[in-house]
Amino acid sequence: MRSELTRREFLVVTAATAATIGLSRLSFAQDVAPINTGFIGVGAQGQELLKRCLRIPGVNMKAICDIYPPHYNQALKMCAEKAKGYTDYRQLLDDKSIECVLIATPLYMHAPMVIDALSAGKTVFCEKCMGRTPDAARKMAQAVERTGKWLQIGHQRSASPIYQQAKKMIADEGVLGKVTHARAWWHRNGSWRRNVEPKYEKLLNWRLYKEYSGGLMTELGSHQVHLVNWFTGEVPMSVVGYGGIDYYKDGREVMDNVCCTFLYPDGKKLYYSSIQTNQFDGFGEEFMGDKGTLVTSVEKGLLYKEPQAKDVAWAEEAKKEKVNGQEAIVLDASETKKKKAGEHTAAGTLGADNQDDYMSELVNFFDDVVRKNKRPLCDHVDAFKVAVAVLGANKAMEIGTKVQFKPSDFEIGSK
Amino acid sequence: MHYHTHTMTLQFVHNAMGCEWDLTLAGEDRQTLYDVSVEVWELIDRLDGQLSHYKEKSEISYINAVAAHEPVLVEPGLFQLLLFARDMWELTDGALDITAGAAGRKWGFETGLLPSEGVYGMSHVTLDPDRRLIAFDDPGVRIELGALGKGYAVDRAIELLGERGIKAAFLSAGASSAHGFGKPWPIRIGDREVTIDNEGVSTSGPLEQSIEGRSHLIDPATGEPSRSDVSVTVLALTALEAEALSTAVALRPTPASIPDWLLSYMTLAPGIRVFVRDRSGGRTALSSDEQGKVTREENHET
Repeated sequence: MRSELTRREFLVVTAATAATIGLSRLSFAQDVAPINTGFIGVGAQGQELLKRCLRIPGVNMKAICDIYPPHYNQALKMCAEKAKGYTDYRQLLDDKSIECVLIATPLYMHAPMVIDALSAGKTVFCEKCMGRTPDAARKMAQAVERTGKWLQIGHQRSASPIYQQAKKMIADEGVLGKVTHARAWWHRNGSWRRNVEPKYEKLLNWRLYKEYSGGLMTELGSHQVHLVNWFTGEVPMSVVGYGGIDYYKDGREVMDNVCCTFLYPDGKKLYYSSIQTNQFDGFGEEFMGDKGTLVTSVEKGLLYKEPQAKDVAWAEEAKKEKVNGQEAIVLDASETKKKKAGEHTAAGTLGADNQDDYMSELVNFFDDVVRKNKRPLCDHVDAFKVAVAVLGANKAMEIGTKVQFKPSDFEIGSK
Repeated sequence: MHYHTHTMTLQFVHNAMGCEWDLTLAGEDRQTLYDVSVEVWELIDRLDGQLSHYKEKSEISYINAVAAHEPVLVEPGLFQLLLFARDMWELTDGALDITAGAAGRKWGFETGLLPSEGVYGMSHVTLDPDRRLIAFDDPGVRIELGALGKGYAVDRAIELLGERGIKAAFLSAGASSAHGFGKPWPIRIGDREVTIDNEGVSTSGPLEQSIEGRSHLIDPATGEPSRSDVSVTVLALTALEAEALSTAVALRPTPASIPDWLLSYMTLAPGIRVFVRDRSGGRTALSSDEQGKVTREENHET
């Protein structure tokens, strides 16, 4: 906070009363065992996650690490100076009292940092995409198996009540019938470029350079390919596509528009597009089955019935909405909440109902993975397959030909 | 003071927090200004997602749902904002109350469920600064940051613009909050024009917004729409401070006698300007200098 904080401190001293009403109430709950935590990479995305970590009872943010001074300072300020600051992540990892680390650094750094962190005995949360190359991601996955420490990758839709509901409807209940096609899109209007001092160009605009980034497919597409893999329980067999640097001629090396088709088993296809010159479509997914269509986004899902299909058993009581003249059943967080009404969250824990997806995945990480040693909702096995698929799509678009996946491409292999 | 001359000025518009945001950026390079504007709108949307009581997954909604059952750990930035709101509640003799909005629901300013009508007041809210915890003593209590959220978001965005090396900018959230820096930005208040530079500004009062003649401001003392009949503009250090002051003054003004707490506040916090206008054109202007000396001026719009 700029200057009102200074003024606030000044005003607090002069305020008539101290307003310490009933503080004793706060002494119960919150007494969960502390988890000593380190955070490596506290840029824009890192700070979004850090903000949420600081809301989770028991998370003791003991250390942060960043090499860009403004981010380093902002993060220390966010932790109210209670965290220790590092510029070398290996020194942070040397702190034996740190039990787990979160990593939100540029993509090419994921592999060395995650492998070092796992080897140092930490449980690790790392932002998506898993690795810059299939080989890097494979080595990360092998490190998980070798060390026995969990690695959670930040495909946060795995923790979303809406997507969990969608997965149940499509895969377990067969509400859409036989799903033959899916479409996913992430359309934005913006260059991704930040206005930075030239010496920090590659550090902060890393997304634009091939050495550091896989562009739209790793940064955005990976989330949605993850959904299709998750819902179908399958991985793609091949991919073709077009993309290019066709609009932002600013020295970038990654494509500013991608458009590709993944072939899944049994003829299923995923049409994927991500563009940076038009945001009309926003982002979302559409799953097409012979009995219905489910359109999903992080806010809600809309279920449309095919004319010849029977109503789902619970259609009558479901919330409905007319979209372009067609009636749709609405799945939103409040629907999932109704089902859980009365089940209040236990003291010291956070429920998923009132949380955004980042918060839900972090609660999953701290409460289930770190505390209870449970498998993460998005683990190294799933995230590795996503990385192989999206990096394969990049290759297909770069060389202009079909990329065929072998089953062994998705196997982690020996340590 | 010397101001840099910029080769271009671009304007950007965005909808968030229930109003239209306008951003004016001055600089040398079109793409740079455009890219910074995208970052600003992303920041505003993220803050909207954290602070809005309309959004069911916001941090505020989480606090509203849980804080009466168990203490809730609050993100440090929001916690500072809540402490600020509590301090201002005290300093304004209860005129600024972020729990009063719930009482406004029955007056038709919002639709939706009222948990247990009429339970409001910052005295129901406990903040523990050592542990960053918040607790309510009644399940009916709800926090609605309203204008304070906009002021806070304006200030965070201004901070970002500074970090991105923008030399001159003006950002406004609807008719409510604004901040400008890098050059004197003209602001119209009734028939007078003032300029702001590195200051926050906010206007509140029924002359700005009302439903069937009723003020949208709820007086925490009565739980009813304020009978205030004035428009109050405050220029202060930040948009947040300006919002807090203009909201509180507009609620219960007595144009002839400015509230005592405001005079005390201005004595302690230098560099504040307050403009009060009533329907009949009467106006009062107050300002505090660096030494905290308050000057008052009364006249009539022509």
